[in-house]
Amino acid sequence: MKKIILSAILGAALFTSCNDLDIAPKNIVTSDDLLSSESGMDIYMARMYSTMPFEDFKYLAERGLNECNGWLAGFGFDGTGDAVNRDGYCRTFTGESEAYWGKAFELIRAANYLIETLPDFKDKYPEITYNDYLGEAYFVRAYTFYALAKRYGGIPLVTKVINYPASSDELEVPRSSEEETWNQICADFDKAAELMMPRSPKRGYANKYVALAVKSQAMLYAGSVAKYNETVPGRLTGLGLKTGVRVIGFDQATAAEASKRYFSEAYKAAREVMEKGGYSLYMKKWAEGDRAAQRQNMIDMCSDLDSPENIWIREYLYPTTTHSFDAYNAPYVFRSPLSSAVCPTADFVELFEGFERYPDGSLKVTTGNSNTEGNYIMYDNPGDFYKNAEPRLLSYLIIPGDQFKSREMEIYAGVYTGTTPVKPLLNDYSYQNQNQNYQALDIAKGDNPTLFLSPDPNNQTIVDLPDGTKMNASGANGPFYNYAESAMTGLLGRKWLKDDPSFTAREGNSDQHYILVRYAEVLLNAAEAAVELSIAGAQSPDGSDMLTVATDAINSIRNRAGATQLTGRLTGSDESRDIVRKERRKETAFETGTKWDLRRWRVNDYDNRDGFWGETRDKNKFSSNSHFRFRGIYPFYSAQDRKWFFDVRFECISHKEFEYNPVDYYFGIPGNEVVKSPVIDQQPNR
Amino acid sequence: MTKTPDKIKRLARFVAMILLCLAFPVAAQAQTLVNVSGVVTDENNEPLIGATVMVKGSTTGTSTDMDGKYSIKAPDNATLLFSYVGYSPVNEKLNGRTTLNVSMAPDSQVMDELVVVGYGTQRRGSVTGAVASVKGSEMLKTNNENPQNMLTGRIPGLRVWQKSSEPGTYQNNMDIRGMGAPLVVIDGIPRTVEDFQRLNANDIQDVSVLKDASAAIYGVRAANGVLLVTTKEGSKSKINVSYSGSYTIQVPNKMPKLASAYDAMTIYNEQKWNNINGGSIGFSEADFAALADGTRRTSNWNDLIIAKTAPQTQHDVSISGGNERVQFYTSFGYFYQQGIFKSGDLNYDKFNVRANITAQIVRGLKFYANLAGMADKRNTPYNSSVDIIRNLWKQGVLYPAYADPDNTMLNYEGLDLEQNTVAMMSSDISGHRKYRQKTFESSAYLNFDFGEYIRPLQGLQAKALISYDYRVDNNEIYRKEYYQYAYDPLTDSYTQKIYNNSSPSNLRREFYSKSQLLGQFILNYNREFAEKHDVGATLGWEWQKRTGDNFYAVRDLAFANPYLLVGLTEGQIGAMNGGNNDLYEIANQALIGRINYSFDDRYLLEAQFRYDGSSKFAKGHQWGFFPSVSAGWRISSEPFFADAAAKAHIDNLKIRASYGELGDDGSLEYDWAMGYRYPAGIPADNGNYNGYSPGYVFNGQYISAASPLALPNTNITWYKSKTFDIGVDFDMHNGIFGFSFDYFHRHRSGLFARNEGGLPTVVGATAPRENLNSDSHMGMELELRHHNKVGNVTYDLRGMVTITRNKYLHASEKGPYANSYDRWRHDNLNNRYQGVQFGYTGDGRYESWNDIWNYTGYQEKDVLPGDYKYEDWNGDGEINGEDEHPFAYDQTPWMNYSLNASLAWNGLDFSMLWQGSALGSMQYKEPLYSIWGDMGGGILQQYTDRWHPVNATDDPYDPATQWVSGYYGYTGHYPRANSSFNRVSTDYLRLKSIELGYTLPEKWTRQCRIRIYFNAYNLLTFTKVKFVDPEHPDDELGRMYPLNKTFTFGLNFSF
Repeated sequence: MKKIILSAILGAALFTSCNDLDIAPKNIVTSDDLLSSESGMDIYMARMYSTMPFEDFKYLAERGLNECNGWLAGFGFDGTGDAVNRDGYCRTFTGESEAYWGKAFELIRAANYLIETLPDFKDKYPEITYNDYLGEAYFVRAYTFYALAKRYGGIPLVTKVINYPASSDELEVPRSSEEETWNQICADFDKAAELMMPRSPKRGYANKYVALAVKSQAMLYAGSVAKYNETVPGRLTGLGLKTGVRVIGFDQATAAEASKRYFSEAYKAAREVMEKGGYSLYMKKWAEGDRAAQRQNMIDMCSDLDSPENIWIREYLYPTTTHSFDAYNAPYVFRSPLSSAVCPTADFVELFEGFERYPDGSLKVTTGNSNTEGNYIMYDNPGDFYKNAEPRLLSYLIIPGDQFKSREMEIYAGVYTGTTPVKPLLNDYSYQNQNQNYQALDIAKGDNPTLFLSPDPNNQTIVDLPDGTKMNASGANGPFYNYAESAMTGLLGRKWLKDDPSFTAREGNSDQHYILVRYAEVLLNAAEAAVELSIAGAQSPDGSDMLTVATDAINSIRNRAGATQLTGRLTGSDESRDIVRKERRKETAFETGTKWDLRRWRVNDYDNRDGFWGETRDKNKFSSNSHFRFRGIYPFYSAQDRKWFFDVRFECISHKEFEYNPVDYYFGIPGNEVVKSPVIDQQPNR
Repeated sequence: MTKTPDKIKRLARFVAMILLCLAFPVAAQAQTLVNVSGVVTDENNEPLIGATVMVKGSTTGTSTDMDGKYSIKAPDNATLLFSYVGYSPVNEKLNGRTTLNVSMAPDSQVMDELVVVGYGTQRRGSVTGAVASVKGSEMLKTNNENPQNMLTGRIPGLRVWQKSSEPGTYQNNMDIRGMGAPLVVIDGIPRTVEDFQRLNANDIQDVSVLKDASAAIYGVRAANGVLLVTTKEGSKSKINVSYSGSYTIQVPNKMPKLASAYDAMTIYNEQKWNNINGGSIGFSEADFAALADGTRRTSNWNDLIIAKTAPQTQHDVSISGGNERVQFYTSFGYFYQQGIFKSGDLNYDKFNVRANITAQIVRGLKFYANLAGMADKRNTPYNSSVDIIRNLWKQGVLYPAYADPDNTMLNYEGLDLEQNTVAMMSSDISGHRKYRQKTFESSAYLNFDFGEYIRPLQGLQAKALISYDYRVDNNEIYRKEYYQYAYDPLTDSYTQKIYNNSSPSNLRREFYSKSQLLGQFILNYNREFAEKHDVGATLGWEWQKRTGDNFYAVRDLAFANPYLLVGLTEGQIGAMNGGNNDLYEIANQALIGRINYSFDDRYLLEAQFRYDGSSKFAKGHQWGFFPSVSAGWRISSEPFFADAAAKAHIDNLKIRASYGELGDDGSLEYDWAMGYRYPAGIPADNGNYNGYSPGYVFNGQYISAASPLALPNTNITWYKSKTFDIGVDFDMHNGIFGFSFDYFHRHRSGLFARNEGGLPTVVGATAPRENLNSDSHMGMELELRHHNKVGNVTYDLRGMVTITRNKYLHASEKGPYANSYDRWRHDNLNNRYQGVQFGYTGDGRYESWNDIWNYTGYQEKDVLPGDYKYEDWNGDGEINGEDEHPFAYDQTPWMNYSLNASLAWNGLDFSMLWQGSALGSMQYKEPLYSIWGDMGGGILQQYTDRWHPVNATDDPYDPATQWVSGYYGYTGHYPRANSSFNRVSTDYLRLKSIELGYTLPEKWTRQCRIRIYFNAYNLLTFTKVKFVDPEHPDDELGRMYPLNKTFTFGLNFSF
């Protein structure tokens, strides 16, 4: 019996010994899997690139990089004045609701891990490929450091993989000084440029010239900070409380030198891309003197995957990786599910050529010398106000009566049935009277109104016209006084939108690529660095004639834009610098750079706000202390003479107000990170 | 291949030796087996069906058939033991008789009832752990589609929340004594709670719950207790066919409705008007007039979307019977439930089949086979119920569902995101989701009784079992493109527009398969020596392997047709889910053992262990040992007690205690492994447009990313749970009064946590999970019983209450936090009770302007009559974040109670179950907190009960304005979300189930038994929670599919 039982037990044990407990998890891969082949490296790169701090269609300035989710994303309404938006997301760029910090160090760890571990796999690759991957790691690290530095100034420069568990000395890294930070960024970009191939192994990868182009941008930032921190009241610098390190700004003694050094690096990097990169401005559709062609050329520049101007792009692909830019930003008639997030401003339009102006330079809409004088100038068509506008501007805008997706875009604020000529609707257009609403005017109220407006698109007021026909009081795309998801400035954004009648936008089916770096910006980098170096009296870093380079750069951009050429040669002066800055604002509008340019130029705060627009404008016309606002261009139909007139006034649908203070030039270090770590310093001015 | 560790082998050999030593010395006795038969009847001489007949001192037993008849093989000098729930057991010595008719008398003492425990059964009287059980027949008194809900209030310490009654979703929470989700074991095989939820309730024989260290025999998965479910077996009787069918009417229970168009316009105007700087009017007199004369079209959205009632039906047939050698139980069940959406496109059906067969192959060798199959299908519209309800509420009633008066064209104008709820709920319009699940469960075992052949081994049995379960999920998610319209009054025409999020038509098919293979080899020994020493032992070896696999495919469709073959080639996806619950291979092995000893039924001792191995851990950390001991003392069996006067009254008094160490590996996720998860995530149908894209496009090709795992921790192991329980059972006067009381305490250590606060952010990695935290859990449980018969009326009352609470002992810092106050508020959980809620205590309402002017504390500038006052908790004269203090419990109530009553009179039977909870609270969120919608949307009926001026156009900020008071403040003014105005107690008492049945007298029905009944579920609820059910208050922010009230008419029929 004993035998039976024992053999039964043994039998059971035998039976079960087939049941091995050492089972490798099926859903986990190792570093060996990823780093030992090109296809594995694609996955490792995809991992790094998918978390890069790109500010493209998936980014909303208000919400920050961590979410990277593109919810409600649009460009130009982050307090730059290019546009306004209906939502609370429309604010000055004083911080991001999800601070970029933790995710950055995860990405830096991935880059450092590659730098440290790839040498173990060196024999798996030809040398150029191996070097290129290694260069990518340095590039990713530099790019991430740069994203942090422009937000916070000096940052913890983590240049190796930190192992855990370990002593706190090994685990903690304090913030370096801002100067050391920019130096490290410069060095990492240089190392990347040295290692990487001149052409990306695959579209989407960086390469030598991507590294140099981004470097020129980063060094321009560094040079500007070193210089213009000095212009902020009280100088913008200070030491960390815990470490005594100069975590923001520069020592007064070294600031000027540092600034020159960084501008030189920016100039050199940009020049190398210009001379050897083989890129050029996109001119495929461009034709001399043909405004329509020039406009279309600028529109196509954004969407042509093979544009010679593209230095580095981020591609999207339906259905795996998409964005929703069209679903949030299309005109109201194409609403799906939202609409009209980007509404360009009159202030922005004023940057461009082709408009009549009052003596103070602002847009002229009446026959008098200012908004309140004379009668409105009448136009036959709602788009006529823009008929001489610079083609580049029109490539950014959907104007009243414009064609978009093969439909005419109706944009008007109201119908006027009173007598003509028409006197200005408001008697005060100043900043102080910004809140007066059209619907509160006497002519819009009562039993016999002469000004008709619609509260929202579902409740259009129907106007009986003198000729017996009927007309909606507001255009199909607005503006509506109670409904901000319409053309709330009388204009709509066009840049990056798909102008394809067969395309029906919805959340998650937009797949146009975003241009992360394009050649025009490199030209502008070179020009700005050149002028700044000239102002500082510095030598040309590569022996080229810097001001000629700058002048040619600006002229080539203006030529392509359909704008007039410079009348003379740029000089080492603030005036020339402003010409370059204004050109930059115009050329790179509705991209991601403007909000950073305004920061590095330090022109957001009240004291420096005259320079906000790149050109000098009287800040008191659009601001009051820390606050400022932007204007719209509202079209009205005058029923009596069947003509159109325009009213330029502060945006009156959402009453967007912006605020900026000097402290905002550096984002605060996330408070919880400061508390958590014994070495991470908060900004000294917070 | 691993070798079985030597340690186990040695242990196994040792235990086997002990068993043999116990078995051999016993002297053999000569016996002859005879066939005994007879009839068992109750006090009214009616046959008792299903009474248990056992040969005393053996495991031989049978049960009575439909006519109360039984037949059993027993030694001619044996004693037969008759038992039946609710009746006093009867012991009869055969003394050579072969016919033995027994009449049993009712009794609430159930000392000899068999209770299912881990890997075996025990007599109720000798159980030393906290084990409670309920019969399937008792469960059926609550009429519900989910057996979990039938357990509500039936077992002390078992807590069940029904979150929603959405067909086929089975959204319940269930725990034992608040300890977390228990292990579910069905017919001896560890299975899942989903399997239990989909069981045919008519197949359930009984459910046992192991609440304390008695669960330790389930080792590393037992820390939260074990739910043991046993299905029915056949009996040795003629073929018995029974049918049970019911038709149920469901009514949504407490669901907010949209206010009428008139009210919505009025309240919208108030919203606009309520501005201290001067408001504006949204809807003019003309708009109201247009509404009144019908020129402004609206729809009654409540009635368009939500049905008043929805049907549900159930049909079960079972056939059972058998003879001496073979017994079988087979059943077939069908269930159908429809949801509350008017379209009827939310529905569920389920088929169950079962065959349980017992066969005696040769003397002493029995074969058991349990086979069960389940197939269900959950149909839902493409949009989830939550989204449908969300859209309905948010969009409001002010715009019509159809653009034209003939209701043929869906309208989009004025609707939230242009999404029409009628389209959302209709599968014909917007597409569907079908979730089809099929499970096959099987187990078979051979049981050999050594005693049949070898006298000295009497009581020793060996059992070898193999079980194979398989589950497939076959899902279809179909999005259909559709068009909507808007009326343009300017041109008197209709504008057609595609609903953007519906385009293009798209189909996703998913296929998941999961399987479990399990083997057991178990030796059982049970024997009584010298009439006083009862010895039992169990030793077993168990192994288990679970695998999961899946894949899915997605294609845009050329036209609306839900088959992949009409897909477009562009953008098609084929992939799989790599989650831990979707792709896995897990193996377990265990050695289990138990020894029981009882002396004279007075002193009871039990020790058990499990040596458990799991492939989830790193090599060297795979095995763990989980022991437990328990003891009992039946004072009522003591000789001194027999003499005492008390004996005349007291039938049973037992004290028992248990202690054990258990583990839980449920949430371990290969924390010891280093590497990446690949792919990093699944590209969503819509391309992760609003989320992190888990990959990147190079050269126009999507490359999935790999996401790094958290830093590895090779030392991670299961957490340990030490459980202590002490209890007393008492019964007197044949059931006139009885109670059980338990005190329990559990201490857990090594709970998984990430030391986020301790890992500097610059490391750039996720902190590993470590065995860091600890908590403690204590509570008490009381059950009171009363059973009596007055005249012809038999009745039972049973009340139970459990109070339990959890306290964090050590909680690693979650951090980082902005400052030390922030940390104290949000992190420092050390020594803090579960779910403490911080907020403001209310201090009444402003009743008038005088009240506002006379208020001395801090005040907002736009205060109006009807607004809210708060307690200045820290007394600094200001109401701000620092006045927030612990003021409420969370949504998990600490106390649960119930009261069962049943009554029988002639053919009538009646039962009801009251059930409730206390010491919990909830917060109204989004749509239930405030008007959540624009342009007149989000205005629920409840918001009409508000403070407002008598005359709607009066300026609310003019002190001369006359006010009407209400529940809410003036529209636009809400209390602070985390104040006592908005967080209310979820205490409730409800009539969970009430049933009235009538069994037709046998003289009318002859050979069959017919019972008709009426049952109501969730009929009455008493609670302070407004608008929603207290069981699912803030789930899905209040938009969760509601619970239902049900009214059931049913018929039971058997012959």
